[in-house]
Amino acid sequence: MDFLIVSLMLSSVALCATGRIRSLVRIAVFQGLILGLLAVSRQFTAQTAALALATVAVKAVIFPYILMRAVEKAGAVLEPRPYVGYNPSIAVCMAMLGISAWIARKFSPQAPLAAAGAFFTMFAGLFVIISRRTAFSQVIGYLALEGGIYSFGLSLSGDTPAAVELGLLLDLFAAVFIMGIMVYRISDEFDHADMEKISFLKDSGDYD
Amino acid sequence: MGFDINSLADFLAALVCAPFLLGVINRVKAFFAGRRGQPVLQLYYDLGKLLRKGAVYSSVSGPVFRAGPVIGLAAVTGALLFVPAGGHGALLGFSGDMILFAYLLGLARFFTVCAALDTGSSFEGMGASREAFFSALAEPALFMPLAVLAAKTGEISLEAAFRSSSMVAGTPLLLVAAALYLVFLAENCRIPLDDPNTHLELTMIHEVMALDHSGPDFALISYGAALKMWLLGAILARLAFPFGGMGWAANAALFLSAMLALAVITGTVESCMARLKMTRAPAMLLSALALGFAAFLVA
Repeated sequence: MDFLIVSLMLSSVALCATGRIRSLVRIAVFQGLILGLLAVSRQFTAQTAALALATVAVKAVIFPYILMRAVEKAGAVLEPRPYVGYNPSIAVCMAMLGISAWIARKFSPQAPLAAAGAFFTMFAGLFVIISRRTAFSQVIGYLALEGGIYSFGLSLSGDTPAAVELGLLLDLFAAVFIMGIMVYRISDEFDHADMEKISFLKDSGDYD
Repeated sequence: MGFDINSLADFLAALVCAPFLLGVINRVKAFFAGRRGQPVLQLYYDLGKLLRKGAVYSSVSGPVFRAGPVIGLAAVTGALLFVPAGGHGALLGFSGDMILFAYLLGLARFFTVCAALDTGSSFEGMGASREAFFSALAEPALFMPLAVLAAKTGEISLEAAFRSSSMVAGTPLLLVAAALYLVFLAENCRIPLDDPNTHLELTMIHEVMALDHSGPDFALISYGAALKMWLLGAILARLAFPFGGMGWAANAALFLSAMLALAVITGTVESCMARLKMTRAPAMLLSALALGFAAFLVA
């Protein structure tokens, strides 16, 4: 259990520390596997096993496949010029680790480590969303954010109805599916997936 | 604390065997490159040769340049006194010696940097600047695992922390060992951070600071580097293996094979990895710090 949560934490640090899109997708796969294992780590029943299987199938197989296809078609290799560099990102990660440990101690004193790991994964996902330029990294940040919420649910109460978890998973699936198509369309249309440039695409007036 | 003849034997063994470790690493690297490689005892020959030579001092360099290698070696040897090797205690130990240990290594580095600046060479100034920058990052990365040990065992002495029954175990131990291994690679100028075999001054970090040292001075620097590798390796070996409750011979055999394994692992890592870009090098030390931080949360 501890080992899984620490792996989740450290993979989130790695998420903030690299700009290679392939590595980011690989980390997302790894996190999907960890989340699946987390689901069955507390108790192994048919219900948790089904949940774990669904989690791994969606997060470690389908999402990466969709994303990888979009990445390959767009020919994206490297995150260009992130807003926050990779070395400062690791420093920010450590601050976020401290903050999430503090929050976790307040929030769920019975399982502080699990809650800290969950919070930190959420924070790291959010941080990746706001500090990177391309849509690929942002989608993966979104995935990490969702993974954090999911593991928080697992840590707080082992008996969340499986229907709720599966519903969340379905929601997420739709979201990533649409994002995958959108990212592909964007990069097809504009030769890049740089979100900063997209935000200038509005009616002229403000900028003239 | 009583005087232990075994600790003295460990200390003397470290002084004698330290250069051997580098020989093993070089042999492993040569094996991966498909060469036979230099003799395992090459560093001993080099040291012998250098000690028989005279030293050349530039007219612009002052006493700091001459003092650098001596103080460097003395500080590292001093730090070695506090390291419990194998299953035995350290030669010296008192509450707080963890901090003295870390700062003796810091002192050695400080004088190496000063001696490099004293030469007035622009290359050495560049190396000194890099060394100061990277060691500023390596120091918290070294302190974090030590802090985890101290927090877990309630002892701020290396000797007492390793003797304590409430040592870190399981996941935190793995994290602490990983963080210390990254520090070990960084502090000993091994490949992901620095390349000990580079011949281009512009890419050097540590090597460039020793360029103007010659003869016995250079021997002191090389020997000091080997000792530093030994003492950080000894801490790692002590962390990884539960020593104690064994006979003298079994203890020594386990310790030496742990050190040998460490050297082989290091050689393998160096053969399988490319060196990090200079701008990415701090990421490695920051990752070590993050590992230590995670260990702190878990432990």
